[in-house]
Amino acid sequence: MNINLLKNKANEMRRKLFKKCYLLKEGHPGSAMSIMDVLVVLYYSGFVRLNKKNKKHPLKDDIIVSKGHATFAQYPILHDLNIISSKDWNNWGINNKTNLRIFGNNSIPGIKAATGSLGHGIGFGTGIAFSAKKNKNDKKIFIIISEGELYEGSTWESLLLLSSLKLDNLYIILDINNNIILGNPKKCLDLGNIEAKLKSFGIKTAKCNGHDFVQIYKNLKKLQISKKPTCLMTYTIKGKGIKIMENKPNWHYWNNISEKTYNEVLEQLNN
Amino acid sequence: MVNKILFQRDEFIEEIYKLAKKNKKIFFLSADFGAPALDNFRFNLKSQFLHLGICEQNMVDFAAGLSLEGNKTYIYAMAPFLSLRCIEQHKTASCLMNLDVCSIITGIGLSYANSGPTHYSTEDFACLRTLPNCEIYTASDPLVAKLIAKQTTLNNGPKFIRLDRSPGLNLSTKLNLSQIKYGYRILKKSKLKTGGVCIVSHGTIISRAIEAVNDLSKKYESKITIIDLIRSKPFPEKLKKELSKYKSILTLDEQTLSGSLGSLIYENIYKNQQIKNLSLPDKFIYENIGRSKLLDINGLSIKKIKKAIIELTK
Repeated sequence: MNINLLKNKANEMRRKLFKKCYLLKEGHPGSAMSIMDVLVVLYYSGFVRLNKKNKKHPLKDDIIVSKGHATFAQYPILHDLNIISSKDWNNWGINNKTNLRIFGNNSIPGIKAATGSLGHGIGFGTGIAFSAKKNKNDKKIFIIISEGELYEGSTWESLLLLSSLKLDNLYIILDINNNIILGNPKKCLDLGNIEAKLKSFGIKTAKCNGHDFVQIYKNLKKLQISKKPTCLMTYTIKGKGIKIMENKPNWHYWNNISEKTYNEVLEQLNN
Repeated sequence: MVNKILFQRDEFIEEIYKLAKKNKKIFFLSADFGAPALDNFRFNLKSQFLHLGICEQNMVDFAAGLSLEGNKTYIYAMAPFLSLRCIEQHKTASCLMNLDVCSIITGIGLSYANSGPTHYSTEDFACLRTLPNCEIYTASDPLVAKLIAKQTTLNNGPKFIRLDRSPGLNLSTKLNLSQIKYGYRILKKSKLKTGGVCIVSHGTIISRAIEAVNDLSKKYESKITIIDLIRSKPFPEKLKKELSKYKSILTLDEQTLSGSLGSLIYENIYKNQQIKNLSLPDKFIYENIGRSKLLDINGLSIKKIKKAIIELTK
């Protein structure tokens, strides 16, 4: 693990995505920025292995961003890894000659599954993980979910199955940024003791700061030894890295900003 | 071919079982729903069968995951729960990603008579057919169910297979796979070249159309065609042309009217034709009197069908 590389990559990817959001005047940047550091660790620290032989899906391991509005946080990374072409990336937000869309779907190179509505990712991932085990494939599946998805009954249905099948090749990463659309979940409908609930479903858990590269890396490594399905609970800041967005529920969606503010954000991200 | 009383679900599953023995990429998932033919599958092909708990929604998502890895997955549950309860899963998982998931929706219409409105599947057709990318098949007898099973292996993509709960005889033993590919079969042909009445139906309710027509005098009977719509989505192209030959069309569907077979036919005719739709009323049905009587008092009696035919032939 190279911390400087990860720091630089996280900054670069935030910058690339922010520029695109400004061009597109849409997207869910708050949700995407909160998971960017986790994504950078997964893609640039050896957790996700490339498989360039498979042109359609050039990844040996899979990431599904179940909190689907944040799926596009992967695009700048996949472009950096030459999985999303420069043509697709450069045309995105400029013209229609691109396969990229704000919402991720499995026709985009490197994006395993279509997501958007909440509570599907673990179910998809369980099917993929089960199939991989059957085929003696050492594929690893990382599913990034939000705390908002813990309200969906389907999440708990899939945890029940995941645990029953003892799939230790699936890793859930829970993004806890304490923000759902109408505010802090505790003040909306309290989710209670999330860790105890996950444990009661047979999931091995760990907790860390979702913006601390070392902690994310070490905890993921530790969880990979587990013989049970796991969940890394990452505590994050919605909109992390961009001051005007940080912890601001209204930045769940893109907000119009002046050119001056745009340049100020880019200045922050350059440093 | 001896015409025996058989269950549609057993005929369907038996066929999938034969195919799964040769293809390890076929998986069968059940949400705690059984059948004698499934016993063969789950005891003899243990590694390809999974009990998913009574979690139909997760079953759809899990099947999508299996299919994302190149497997062909059959999912099996009682009709109302594998259709309406999972409609968002079908949309987001199998249909949006165009995945090879076949949903075996068993017990359509009032199949589960006396179990109450929660167990009746009288809206599934209208809801499912709104989903892009999918194919929808409805079996009117056990042989159709068996052939639909074969058909599901010929191409990939999401499919909904609508089966009846009750056992029955085959309406015709002269049926082959090419007719399933065609999407419909003509069970009775009018003697007129143009004009006359075409009855379009799907599922076991079509037997009431046959009974009603057989009960009519030659004067009416000779002017009637009965079409069994096996694949309703995509709508068979040739059927559009066939329907244009008739003066009137009568649809017969064991569903509530909104968005179901009557609407489908309206969407697929070329010219102004007289259309009458017989279906279940827009209400929840509570009476515990058995399926046949429920159909009789809810707009699908033989008498009512005959009356509609006579009116349309005038």
